[in-house]
Amino acid sequence: MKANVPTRKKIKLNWFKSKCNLNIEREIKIQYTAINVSYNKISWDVIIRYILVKQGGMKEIPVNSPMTLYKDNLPFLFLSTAGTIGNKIISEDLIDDDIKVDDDVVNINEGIEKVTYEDARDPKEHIEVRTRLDNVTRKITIENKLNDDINLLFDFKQTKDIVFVSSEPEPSEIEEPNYKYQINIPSEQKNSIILEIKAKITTRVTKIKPEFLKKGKQ
Amino acid sequence: MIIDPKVTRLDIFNNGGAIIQREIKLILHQGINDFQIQNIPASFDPNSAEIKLEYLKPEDKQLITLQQTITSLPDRKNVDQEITREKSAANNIISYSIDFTREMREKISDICESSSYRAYADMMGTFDFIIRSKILSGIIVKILYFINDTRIKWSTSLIVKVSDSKKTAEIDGFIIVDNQTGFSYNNVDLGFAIFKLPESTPYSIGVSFSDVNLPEQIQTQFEQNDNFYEDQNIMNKMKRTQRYKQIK
Repeated sequence: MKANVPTRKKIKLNWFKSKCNLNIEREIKIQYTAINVSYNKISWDVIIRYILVKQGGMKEIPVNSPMTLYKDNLPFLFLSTAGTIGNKIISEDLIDDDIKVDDDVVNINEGIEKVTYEDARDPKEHIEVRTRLDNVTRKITIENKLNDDINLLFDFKQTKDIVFVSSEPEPSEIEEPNYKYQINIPSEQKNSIILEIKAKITTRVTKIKPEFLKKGKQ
Repeated sequence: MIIDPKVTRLDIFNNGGAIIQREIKLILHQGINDFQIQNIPASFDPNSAEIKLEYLKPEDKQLITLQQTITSLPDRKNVDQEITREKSAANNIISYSIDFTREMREKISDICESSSYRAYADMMGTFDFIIRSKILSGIIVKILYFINDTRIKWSTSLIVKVSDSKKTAEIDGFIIVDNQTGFSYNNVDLGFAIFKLPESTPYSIGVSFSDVNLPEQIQTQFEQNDNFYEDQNIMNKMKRTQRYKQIK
């Protein structure tokens, strides 16, 4: 394309015009730690991304290019591109404020503590390691505040300390360490998942070895 | 001889910089022909400067040869001093411009504004070449060089009109070219590429030296972060592959 590029000016050129299919992907990613697994309440964010599947040839669009979504000739969302794969233009990830996720603890069954000792830096001290396996039940409630039905992917990822035991409903797909659930929520409705997980809780305390403890005055 | 070949093509990078192609038809005399190209910005990369000869007659190939190219950049220290002096003079002129008439004030404002924007990259570099010819003849000379100036770049803007069904949409794609350099390019073929010029060349404008003491930083991250190896940012200091993508 031919154009004039004057000094200290910006020019705007028409590049392409195309029809596309619009897909909206929503996802909740949940991963606990040994600390937050026993919290009474945790809030998670729902991640939303827009995927435009362009008709015709592919276009390479640089990352972070601004994208404005219009509905009824009015702009309703300003976002950026995260990249292009083939003829797919993928938006950046955003937090969907219209979907509320509450994660509440239902029950904690504390396991039996096992005490072991590790060497400390000071030879007169040792580290007391208390380890127990707790069974934790949590209920995750997802509320759709939109006027439309939504489909979302709930993705629980187990870690070395937090292991999946069971859930209600069963996961739609298991790809260790991820347990995935395809959830459909009608407009202004709620849906829940009950997760039962095993948490390895470890506490470490440095103590003076008993043989070095001073005897109290008699 | 001083020549000013026309800019025929400009391939702009999205992260700043461009490849410039210029072209001119020249008459060569028998013997040594010395040419000096005008309007070469100081942001040009002397290592990338290239001259291509296009012969008008096939037999000229044996008779006309490019002997050498000569490139140089202005001294940065002197240029910076000169720019500082100009800016100071421009500020003084503006301070006393109350007595000027309106027309004169606008002209002076333009001069002062261009002076305040001026940077090292707006100064002139040297790009000369010598052609040795055994005959009197004509030749087309194509000149190609990179400019390492982040003040010329392009970006895109997408307007997505969502249909009532929310299943389809219409996209309008625009390219926005931002040229904040002191050079204009008229009626040129524009090309666009997704590319970032290396920052470590001595000709780079605005090189960032913010990431220092890396070993200490890595050590702190390791101590504080259990997911150290998942953190991609810490590895950003290593060079990444970068492939030039031409936009159609």
